[in-house]
Amino acid sequence: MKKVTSLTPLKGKAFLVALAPMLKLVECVCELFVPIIVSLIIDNALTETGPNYGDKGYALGLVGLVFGLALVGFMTTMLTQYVASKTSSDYGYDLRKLIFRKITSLSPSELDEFGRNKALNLAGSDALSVQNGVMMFMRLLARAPFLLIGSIVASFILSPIGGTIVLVAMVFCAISIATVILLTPKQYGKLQNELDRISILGEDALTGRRLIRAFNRQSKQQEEFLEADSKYRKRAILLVKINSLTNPLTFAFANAGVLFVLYLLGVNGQANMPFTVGVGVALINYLTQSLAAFLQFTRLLTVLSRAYASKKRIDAFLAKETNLLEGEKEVTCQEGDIVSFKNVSKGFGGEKNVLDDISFSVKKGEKIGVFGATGSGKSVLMRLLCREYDPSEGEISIYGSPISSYKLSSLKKSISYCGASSGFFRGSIRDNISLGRSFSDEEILLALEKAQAKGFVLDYEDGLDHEVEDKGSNFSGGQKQRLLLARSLLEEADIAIYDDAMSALDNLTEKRVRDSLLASKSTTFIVSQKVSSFVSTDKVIVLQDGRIYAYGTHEELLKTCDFYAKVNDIQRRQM
Amino acid sequence: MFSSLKTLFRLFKGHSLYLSFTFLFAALSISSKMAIPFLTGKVIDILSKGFVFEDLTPYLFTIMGLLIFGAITRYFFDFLSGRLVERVLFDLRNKLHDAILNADISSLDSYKQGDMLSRMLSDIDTVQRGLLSGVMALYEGIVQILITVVFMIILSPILTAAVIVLTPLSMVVSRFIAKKNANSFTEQNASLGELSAFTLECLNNAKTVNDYGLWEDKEKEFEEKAKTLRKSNFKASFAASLINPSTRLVNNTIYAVLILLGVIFLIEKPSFVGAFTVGALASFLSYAYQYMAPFNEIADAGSDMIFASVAVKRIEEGINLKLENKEGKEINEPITSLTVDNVDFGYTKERLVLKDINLHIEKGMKVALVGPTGCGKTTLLSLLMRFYDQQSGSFHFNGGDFSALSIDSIRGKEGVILQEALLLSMSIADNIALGKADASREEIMEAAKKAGADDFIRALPNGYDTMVGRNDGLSEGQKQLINLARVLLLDKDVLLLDEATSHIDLLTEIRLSESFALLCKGKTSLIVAHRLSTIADSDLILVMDKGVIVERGTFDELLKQNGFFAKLYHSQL
Repeated sequence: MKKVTSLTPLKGKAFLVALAPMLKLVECVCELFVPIIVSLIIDNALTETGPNYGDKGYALGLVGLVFGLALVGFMTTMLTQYVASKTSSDYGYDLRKLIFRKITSLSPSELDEFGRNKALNLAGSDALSVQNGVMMFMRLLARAPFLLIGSIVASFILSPIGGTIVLVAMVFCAISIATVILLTPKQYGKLQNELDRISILGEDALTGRRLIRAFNRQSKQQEEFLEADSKYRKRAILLVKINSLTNPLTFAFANAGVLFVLYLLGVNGQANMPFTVGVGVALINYLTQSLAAFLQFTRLLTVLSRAYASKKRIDAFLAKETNLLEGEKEVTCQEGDIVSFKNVSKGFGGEKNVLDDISFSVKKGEKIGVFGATGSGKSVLMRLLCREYDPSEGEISIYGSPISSYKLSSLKKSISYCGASSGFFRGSIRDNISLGRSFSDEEILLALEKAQAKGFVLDYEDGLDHEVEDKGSNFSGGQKQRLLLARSLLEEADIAIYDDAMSALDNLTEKRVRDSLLASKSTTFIVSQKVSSFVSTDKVIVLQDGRIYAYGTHEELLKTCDFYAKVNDIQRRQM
Repeated sequence: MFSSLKTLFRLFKGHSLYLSFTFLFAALSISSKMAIPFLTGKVIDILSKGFVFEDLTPYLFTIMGLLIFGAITRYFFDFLSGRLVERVLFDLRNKLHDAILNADISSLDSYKQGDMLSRMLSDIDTVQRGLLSGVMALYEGIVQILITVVFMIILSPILTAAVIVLTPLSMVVSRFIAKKNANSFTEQNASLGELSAFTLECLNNAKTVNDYGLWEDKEKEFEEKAKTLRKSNFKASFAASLINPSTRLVNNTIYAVLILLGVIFLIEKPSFVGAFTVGALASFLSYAYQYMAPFNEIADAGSDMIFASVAVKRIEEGINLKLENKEGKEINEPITSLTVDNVDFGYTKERLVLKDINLHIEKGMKVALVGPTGCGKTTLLSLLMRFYDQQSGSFHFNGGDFSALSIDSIRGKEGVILQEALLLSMSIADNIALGKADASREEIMEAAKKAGADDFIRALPNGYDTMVGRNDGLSEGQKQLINLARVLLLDKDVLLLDEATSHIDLLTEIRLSESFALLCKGKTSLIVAHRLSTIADSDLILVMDKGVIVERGTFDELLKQNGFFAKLYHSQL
């Protein structure tokens, strides 16, 4: 399969992308001719020895030519700008679609591993940066080099000596700028680190505001901040010192060129001028023009280097392939075990596996508890079940067939997962509960009731229409969990997973919700750190250090499993 | 633009001498730069007639001198202006940080966290751009224009008049285009923001989107938003791209007109023109070419300054945050009693979170606050820590009203464990020594041992010097143990503790429970309690519900009462 990179959408637009700089060339040529025409006017019409001396018509004709060139230049530029803007915005659209398509093709855990903020930046600032880079290339990038090279070429045409002067002056300018550019990246890296430190301290001052006040730590924090800020300032000023060299050096070299032209004109007396006065004036113009073009070019380079960095990031992302391969089968009800784990192990590259040699099987309709402390592997176990990733070893089967043989979309429909507290979209409560499925308000309210959420939802004047804000921030932790539970309870899936989904609820509320969960026909997995959650389940899997430590009913485990019993004891002492 | 210039200039207060020097260097550098074409013109004139080389040498030497002088003064201008701006930003950042540290908590609460932080980071960046690409560039541009005009007048007043009359055309054109564009930029920013917020939501909820098969729908929605963005992208970029070519056309036309006039003057030699030479024309054209450039830069400078002045206002809003009232007496005696007298409190006036709280604690008492989530327990502790001010009622240490005492000395008497286990971005040792910065390593380790944290700290790669605070891999429980160590290091009269117990692994839970008991031994403490052992062990239990103390007594007394407390106790079975 052909590799997709950030530049792939440009393939169809290759003609336009090449056209713009060509049009720029026309504009530049128009600009480059002006000094030549002025020199012609001076030499031919204004110098006593010139062939058209005093000929107003000749001079006026050439002036008209200057104006005509300006007009032609303008029209080509307008065309270029249009082409560049249209092409780059079309490109940006295609690029963003590519990035989003890639996002949809990766599994959520692959996305998390990559980094949500990184992915967001790719679709946002990086895409814009590359889009602007393309636009800059088409609009401006061609101009500066053309003018620069054109000036040098035109100078050579007028006089080889003159051309050499212009070339040498520009080479010295290039060396000065290159030196400055080479000296700075390391410093910029360190500057960024120092800025990160400042930003961390600033964040601490905000998130830790209560902590800092409680310990009367204000002055010490300010001291730390001053230290970090002073380091930053010192380095920023160092960079100023280095970067300030650019203007003076380029100014000096370009004007040294001017000086040299004048010197050459006069040094051997009137009879031995290496080129005419008019040519001299043209050379000086070209020196000024090329210096301006040069500085414009270096400014552009910074924009482009940012665009290039973005491009590389996007390319790396577009090259990612998901590791989950799906099969063709639809999930259909069979006889026998609905879920079966055989010798399943899962590691994420660390020294130890998160899960080791897990084997168990569950019959249709059973209610299974999954118990373990933080780090025991219970969440990973559930995520393996809904196929967020594949096991490192062993086999997982649903309805007798390997989980990888099913279409992912079919699998998702038959397994519902309810997590601890995230998964809210901006929109109404109704939208968040139904999530695109068509259910009536009565059915939604019933689900809310089962989740012990109907009360607070109806407390709102607009009830189901009430807005859910970003990440559900207008609800408390317990309310959020109950809303998510209602979402799961709305439809009876074949397999229902509740992953620490009731951790923020008090015991009484949890008991009531649990009753609703246990009353459904789904094969249910309830994951919890609280032993009391498993009171009415069929069986409980006790995980410790990634292994199944014990497996039995709640009552059996209280009697036979020390760990289970001890935890139960401690937890019962909490209110 | 002028009001934003005023706003930005305020920032240079106190640096006026420095600023004057910077401006001086700019003027000197630009004058040198602008003098060169004039002298060049003179040389051209000499070259156009009969001459000997010695006629040229004074001019050539002067040009060389100007070249060197101009380069040096230019360096100083760039260096000094950059340095000055860094100083100004340094001051702003420090003032803002200081204000945040000392602000009244309720005024900080009203800002979304990202908002205040961005004032310290991206707003400062915008100010930097506004000062350098804005103010400095504006000054440079104005000086350049003035000096250029002076030289042009010397060469030919009439042509100068032509330039001055015609140049505004270029500005009119660019302003006209910019006005038409203003909307398209706002539109583009809005579309970008929309798309960004949508993408972030999808990413944050990727699992849900995946589970419910919503990717197709989300992709369609994304395409719609991307289409809107594409349109506004095009409009904004095309509109912006018109400015330069249009102004260039105007400028080139003016240039052609000048050549025309110059040629007529040289050929016709009308009397009103006076002495005008080829050299003068060459210089003049050179000036005219450079005269028009600063106008575009000034226009760019204008928009940079406008953005920057908005940023300055945002930063100043932060600097001027309402501060905590530091006034009041110090308490120097040990605390023997704590009284809460008829306190009412609400975060907003409309909803009271605490109603008529009354409480009296003597030295050495251990008091537990118990109740369902949201009943106000943590809020009460916040008031005692003076994070907020009550609406009515009062607090007393040893009979002395809090309102007469300084906030710092009240907090100085209190040892605090907050509900959220937060570590600041520094080493573990520094985190433990938060309340006593000059604590020795032995003291710190002693406190950690008492808290039960020493084991896991020493198991870390850098032990006590491990940097924590962000992605440090420590569990909630481990952070809680460090919290405890912090308080164990100090010797406070009054302990205000919040026993958060959710999401803590079992082994740490056991340790925490033991350390908590150790901490409270023999101290005056007020604890938001969840552990039965803490509650049963307390001298007094206050049972709260919906902001009111509904029952009080010892553990046995309350169970005998068979009321709210008893119901709570039995419900966890």
